[in-house]
Amino acid sequence: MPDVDISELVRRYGPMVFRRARYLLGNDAEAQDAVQEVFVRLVNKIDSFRAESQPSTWLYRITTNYCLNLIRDRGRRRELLEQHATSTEDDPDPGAPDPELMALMRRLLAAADPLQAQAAIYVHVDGMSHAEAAALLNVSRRTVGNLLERFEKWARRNLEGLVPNNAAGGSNYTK
Amino acid sequence: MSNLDYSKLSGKNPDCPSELLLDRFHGGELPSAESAAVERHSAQCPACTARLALRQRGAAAFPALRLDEVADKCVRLDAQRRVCRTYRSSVWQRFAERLSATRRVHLSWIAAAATAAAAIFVALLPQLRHDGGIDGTGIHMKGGPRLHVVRERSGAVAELADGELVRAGDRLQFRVDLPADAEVMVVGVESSGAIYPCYPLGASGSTAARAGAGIALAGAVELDDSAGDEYLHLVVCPRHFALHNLSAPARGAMAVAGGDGCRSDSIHIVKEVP
Ligand SMILES: [Zn+2]
Repeated sequence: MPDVDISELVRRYGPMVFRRARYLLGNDAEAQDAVQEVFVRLVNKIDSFRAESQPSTWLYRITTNYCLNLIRDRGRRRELLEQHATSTEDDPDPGAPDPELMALMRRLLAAADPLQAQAAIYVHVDGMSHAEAAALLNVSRRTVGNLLERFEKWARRNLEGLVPNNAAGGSNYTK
Repeated sequence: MSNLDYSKLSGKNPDCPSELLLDRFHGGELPSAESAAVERHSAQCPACTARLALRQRGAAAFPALRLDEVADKCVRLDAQRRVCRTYRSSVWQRFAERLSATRRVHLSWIAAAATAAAAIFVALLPQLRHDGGIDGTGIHMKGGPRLHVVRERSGAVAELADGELVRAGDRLQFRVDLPADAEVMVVGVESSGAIYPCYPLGASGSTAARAGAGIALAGAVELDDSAGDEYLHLVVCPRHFALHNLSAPARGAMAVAGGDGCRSDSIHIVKEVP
């Protein structure tokens, strides 16, 4: 996309970045900050971005890294992640993950191995195939499978110590 | 509780396209076979129809999203990034002080040998450039506005000649000669024709300046590591003008829409490949 100006890129891709940051972070205000940060990174790499044949894929990668770092910082600050849960009633996004499960997922992501956490976001939250996730992570499909297996095994151990945010959400968890 | 049901987390059926795949479809980034498959699926899947409808609404779907704020900040940042990274250091500060000493020398028409710095400037004022829009002979017209670009590299200071090679890390400061009080702006023009503001840095229009010779414009810029060649133009008009009034009809040329009485001076800089 030669010579497309920055405002046009913000207009074209801003809603996509916002929607994604919003469901990863569970919070409109932080999603707005994420959009700003992601586009600052885009401006700093504008030449390589303009040469990019898959701009959405590029932006997914940057957005994931930004949001995952924020989730991990929150975890380090011992904030209560569940207080950020988005209310489901006024959520216009039919593709957003289940809010209660996502709040639990964030607590896992905050402490998980970063590469395993990225694989888990792509496959379990975004609903990507292993092939799609492999392309984003620059690894083989088999590696994606291994990363997920290790994440899930680690999560099973860690979930023992986590309390669900809402007792009514219990039916979503399996033994 | 010892497990999380990941199949319920994303809220999608296994045969529905991922969020990314739908975004790539919506953005026209998919090869035609994949695109047709997503289209076929979405046509008979109410959930995916709704997911696509959300994408078609764009920013309107999210009242909390303030895209204008993001765009404004990015446009400013982009302008600064290209030529212009603001720079401060004690070396530059000392240099700026010497520059203002030089300016006093010019203004009072005293023979310019008062300081070593002044001697450099006088010695390095080759008349290689032309006063754009006035005269096509390449001869500088007496009394026209002039743009001088002064470079500091590893502590050495010199005025740039037209077409001179510059490199990442070079620090530039602009000096101008103005025959009369005027509205001024210094802009860069990339080889693509894109115009961006260098003085005032990141501004959307001109600023007032007083007449004089060798006036140092506030601020210095540090070159980034992108390769290529660019023209820097000083645009001088009797009245205020906006960045969007400027256009570059040809390499090295500058036009001002509705700009009666405007004049310009340019210098070509060529960035060395790192
Ligand atoms: Zn579907």
